[in-house]
Amino acid sequence: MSDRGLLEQLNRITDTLSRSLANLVKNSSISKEGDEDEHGNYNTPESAARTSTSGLMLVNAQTAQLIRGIQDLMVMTRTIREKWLLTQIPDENDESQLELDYKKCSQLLEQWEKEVLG
Amino acid sequence: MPQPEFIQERLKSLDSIDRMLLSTLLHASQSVGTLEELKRGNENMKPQFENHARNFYSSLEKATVALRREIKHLDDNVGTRLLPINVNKKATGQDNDKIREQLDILTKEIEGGD
Amino acid sequence: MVENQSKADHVVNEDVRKIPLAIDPNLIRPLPSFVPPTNDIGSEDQLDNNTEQTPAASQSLINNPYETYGNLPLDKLIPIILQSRGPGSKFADLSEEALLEEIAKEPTQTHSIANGDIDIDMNDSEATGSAGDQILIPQPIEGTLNEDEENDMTHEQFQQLRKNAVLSLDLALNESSLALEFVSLLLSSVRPSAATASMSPFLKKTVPSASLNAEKVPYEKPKESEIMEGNLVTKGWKLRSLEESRLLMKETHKALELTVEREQNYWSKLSHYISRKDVVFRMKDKETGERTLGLKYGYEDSGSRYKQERGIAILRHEPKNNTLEIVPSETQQASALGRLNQERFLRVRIFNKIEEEDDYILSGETSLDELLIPSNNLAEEQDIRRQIARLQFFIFEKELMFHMKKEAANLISYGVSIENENKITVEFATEKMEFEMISLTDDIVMNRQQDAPKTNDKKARLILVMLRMLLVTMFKKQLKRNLVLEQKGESAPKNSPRSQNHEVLLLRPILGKFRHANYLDLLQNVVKTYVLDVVEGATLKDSTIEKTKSSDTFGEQGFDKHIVKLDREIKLFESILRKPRTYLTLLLPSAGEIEFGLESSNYCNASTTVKYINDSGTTLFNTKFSNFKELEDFLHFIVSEYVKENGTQV
Repeated sequence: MSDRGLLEQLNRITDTLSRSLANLVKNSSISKEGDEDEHGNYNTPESAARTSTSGLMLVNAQTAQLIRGIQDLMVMTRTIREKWLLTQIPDENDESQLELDYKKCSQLLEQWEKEVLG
Repeated sequence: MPQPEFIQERLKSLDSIDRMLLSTLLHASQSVGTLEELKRGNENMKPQFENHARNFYSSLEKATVALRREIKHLDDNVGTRLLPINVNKKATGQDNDKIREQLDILTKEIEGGD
Repeated sequence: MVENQSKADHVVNEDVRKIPLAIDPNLIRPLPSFVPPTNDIGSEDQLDNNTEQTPAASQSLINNPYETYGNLPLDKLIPIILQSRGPGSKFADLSEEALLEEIAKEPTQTHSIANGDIDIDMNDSEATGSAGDQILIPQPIEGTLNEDEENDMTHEQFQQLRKNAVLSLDLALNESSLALEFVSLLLSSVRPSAATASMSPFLKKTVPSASLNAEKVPYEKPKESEIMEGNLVTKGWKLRSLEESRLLMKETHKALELTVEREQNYWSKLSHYISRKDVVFRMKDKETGERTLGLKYGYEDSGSRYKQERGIAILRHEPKNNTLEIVPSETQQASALGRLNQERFLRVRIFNKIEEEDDYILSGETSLDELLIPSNNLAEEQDIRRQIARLQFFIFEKELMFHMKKEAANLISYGVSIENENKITVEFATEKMEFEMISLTDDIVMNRQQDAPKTNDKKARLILVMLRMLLVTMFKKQLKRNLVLEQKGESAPKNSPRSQNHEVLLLRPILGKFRHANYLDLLQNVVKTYVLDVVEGATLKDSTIEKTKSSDTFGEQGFDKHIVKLDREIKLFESILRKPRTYLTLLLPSAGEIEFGLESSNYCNASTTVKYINDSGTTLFNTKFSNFKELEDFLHFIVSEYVKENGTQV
């Protein structure tokens, strides 16, 4: 319940990740179509440069997205580690929570008074 | 005073997820590398490209599934092993530790003394 | 006109700075005027006035440095042009053909000139394009990871680059705005509404719409070779981008691999050496700037209200030795302030007065805590736990001294003095105690067992143990208060200083015990001298226990188990924390009895109640003395008036 946020984040990142490689491949072939479509729209050197520039930008963007996605998931593993260590409930049966031996202690304290004032 | 075994297991599992993510990235880089070769006209790189791309997706899937399981573990343990969200853990009981320690010293002084 | 003017501009600035579009910043006036280049030169006088007088900022589309030139009267513009063309050139020599030639040469020149800018290098594609098949070889990629460059860049270089970038942007904006104006004007003859929408108010005002016309340029089909070239360029770019992508991912993978390894080491250390009880939280390491984890070792959550130190440490992984380090955040700050040794412990010393002289001799002292003696050959786990325990020890000792000093400040009249920041002394009739914070130095560790044991060593140790336990009792009282308030649904009052001071009970209970014992001695001496030695058969007995029968059965119901537990623990120390009191009953044979009550209202003072009940059970006197001299007189009076008289009568 409390970790729904994490789950949603995971889904989102995975989605982006799986698409980014596909997009990367796709973007690199848009300009390929340009090659084949020689006498169509992409036939002047300028527009060819333009197409390849935008293709390049898209490839770069997808690469960055892919890397960021992986990094984000790694941040997530760290977050989970932190959750385990940071919010762990201490053991209730811990020694320090046990009751003291009051009788023995009060004897000790009595003895203390005698010794110090002695 | 190591962490309980269950926690150790979780940390190990998270370690392996990190490694899966790493190899996902590596496969991505290899996929692009072989794609580049393909574009250069090296047609017999095709199986390799397919292979790398497949590996990319399969390691991504493994990592995701494992992560999902880890998140579920977190969920299952809120209230038993973990404090609910927004509750800060407190360093309690240190007063008890100290008084025990000092009572031990006192015991030694008084009983073990003369 | 437009063309001429801008051509002239080009010429002017091209050689001045050897930058195609930039202009010598020194030539730009602080307030450029905004008269477009289309203005008639004939009206230049008026123009000049305009530039001088009207800031015309409201009309500004953008800052156009070229306009400065456009505004210059010819007698100023021509010298600049000549100056920029180098010495010896004459304006008469300038011909349209020569200028065209220069312009034709321009692109190749400009591209070879390093601008300081990171400009997109078109040479790249041109060169590879002409080199035919070589296009298939990817260009070496620089600048994917410019780390070195970034690291080495000085502030000045950065500023310079930034300045250049801003300048280029300004120029680009300027150029594009001009282009937009031009196109809008051109369009205005065909589609007036669309054109006016994109015209600047200034243009609309100064130039009639549809006043510019142009002829249609026939579309030229690109040559086969051009298409080829274009395709090759495209392919080259594409391959290059793929290579870039691949490399970037590979590099990232490599970097992440290292990070993951470090992380895994860190967490495996944490999981082994940090227990589930420890309080760990996210914090920033101020020294390295990294996001890391902190450990809370202070007593803040265990009832302490000490605010001088936060009691947190950074859990830092030292990659060199692959070890976990625990660095208290205070140490970081202290070392920044030049105060290094924060490790201090409380030492108690007892001195005895040498009778004839006015001097003291050391008769007992506490020894170094085991925790403070360095021990080698510890396994890492023990070492970490030990480090944490030491931090807890030091912060506890500091808090102890902090409260003791506060308490001591009000006890001057009882022989307590604060000698310095780190030392409190308490003087008694025959002895003196010193409570001092000692820096843990190597010397102290080395010399720890040189002295022979002394008679009062144990006493000193017992006093120190009690001081520490009393501080914990203060913690517990605070915890109980918090819990009770919580149960009542109130939040704990933040730091009301009164209650805080009021609650400090460390020195006084211990001091009070000693002082009370002294008073009791005195009282008994007085009784002996004035009664026991005088009245035969008189006996003195201690009736404290009967008088102070514990009436403390308090309702433990209704409280939660934590409060009950705290209550029990606090009550354990009641006998120590109680203000001292002793009751004595002096039995006088056939003359009734005198009851003495020796009490203290503040642990350190003493008052004596005296009640005389005669033989027949009537209370004749019930009074109180804070002075033993008066008490002596009173006893003398009682004995002589009632006892002696009585005795002689009988």
